[in-house]
Amino acid sequence: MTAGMKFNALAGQSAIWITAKAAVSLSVVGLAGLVSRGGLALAVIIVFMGVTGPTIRLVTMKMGGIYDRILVSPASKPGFFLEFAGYWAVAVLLPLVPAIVAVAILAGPAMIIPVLAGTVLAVTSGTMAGFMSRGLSDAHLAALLVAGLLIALSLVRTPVARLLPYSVLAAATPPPAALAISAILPVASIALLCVAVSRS
Amino acid sequence: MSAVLEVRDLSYRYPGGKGISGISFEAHAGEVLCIFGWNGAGKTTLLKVLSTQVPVQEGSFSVSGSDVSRDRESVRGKIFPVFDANAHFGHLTGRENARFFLSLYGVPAAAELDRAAADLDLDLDQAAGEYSLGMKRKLLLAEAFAAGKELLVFDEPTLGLDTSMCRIFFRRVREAAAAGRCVVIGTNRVEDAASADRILLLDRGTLRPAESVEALVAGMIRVTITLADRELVEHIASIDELPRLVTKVLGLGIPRKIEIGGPGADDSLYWTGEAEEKIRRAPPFLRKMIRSVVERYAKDHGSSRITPDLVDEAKGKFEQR
Repeated sequence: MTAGMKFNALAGQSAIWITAKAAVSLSVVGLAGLVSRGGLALAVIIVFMGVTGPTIRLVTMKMGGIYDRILVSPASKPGFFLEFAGYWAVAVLLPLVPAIVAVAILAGPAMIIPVLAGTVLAVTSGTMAGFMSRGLSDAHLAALLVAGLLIALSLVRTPVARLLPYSVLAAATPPPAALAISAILPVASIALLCVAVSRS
Repeated sequence: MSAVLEVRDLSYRYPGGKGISGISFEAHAGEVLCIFGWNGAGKTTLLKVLSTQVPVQEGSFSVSGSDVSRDRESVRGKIFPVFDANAHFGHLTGRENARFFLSLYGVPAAAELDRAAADLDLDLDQAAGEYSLGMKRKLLLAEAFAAGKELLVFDEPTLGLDTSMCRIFFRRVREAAAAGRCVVIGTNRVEDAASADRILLLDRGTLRPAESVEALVAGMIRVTITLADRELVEHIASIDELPRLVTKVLGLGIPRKIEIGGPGADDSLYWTGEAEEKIRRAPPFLRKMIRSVVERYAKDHGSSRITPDLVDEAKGKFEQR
């Protein structure tokens, strides 16, 4: 079983869908860039795509019985969920490449760090939301709450905002220390995900 | 024969109260064991516990010496469960699906998968989303045979399969048993149970021994045939009688539904076709009253099966009064 086949199984999307996402995200980031808000627009897109995608896919797998088949297999559950989140990080980033390139040109190549950190945080949060949701209604609500919370916490000026990669991405010129700090929460979210799924 | 599966006093209760309780049995290498029970008897719950899909609440079980309470992952590595949900990725081909699920068990999709698929007449290169119900089921079965695990657990394996495919499935089950695997099949189909080496009868969450298919059938078969305008209920002592009954009913009208169930499943009374016919001869305004008198008489005499003789008996007693 190749990684490509696994990616296609767990996070695969059609070429048309990826192209449409690329076009829309580039347009939104481009328009926001005109008023110096390209980074913020990209952060919001990453949060929504990163949280909702894995949440809904996991719940769809639960509804179809695929999830149960995976759970009763001897495969390592933290390993499986990390792999799942990893494929989703790729699935989120792939259509955003033109928009990320645009932001990197406008705000500097260092912006790649919060983009990657933000994607990891969003997909691990989305995977966790999917893991805990029982049905589609649960999943939609959970995805909305998690995405909304991440955006709100990034925008409201509190000490927490400094830890979130999205606030770093939204800032026009983030200090170098902020770039390093933005990696703390994604790493913590990976550890939390591993602990949460290890008893499955 | 060594015990592959050892189940000790296993219980699982749903919040509503139903489930299984005090289940103990063993299944051996090379054996095909059938867990037989009507709808709601607890078969799927038992098989879900055995496949570690739901946790053990009381008791325990072990697979080839690995106890589920101590080493669940090891148990999972020795079982390949097949449930009634035809769980596959619709956007992948049958082969890609099989590779994905077999890879979870560390099994490379080998020639065995192709052999099982060819046996079951399944095109592995077609998208699983385009498969019919029967084809999805065949894919699950092919995966199970290709996995080659010590314990194969099937819940309603012949669901959606036609007669010839059922025969092929049981041939493959026999081959798996001959290769030293232990096969556990949960079913409510007498024909499936007949293919097993041993039958355990699951009734309302507890096990009862059933020595043979004949013993099982003799005590339990109830056939309900719903016609266009009425429901006909018959008891049959042997499954061999079923074709004769169906032929007889086909002569009366077009059956819409044929169900096979057990008289112990609920406390309702069953009218034979002949007894129903007797009631139909009475004037319409009297039918309800006669029915009620006969049913009360049957209950008083501890009978759940209402035959023409019982109708006459009840009417006679009523007239004497």
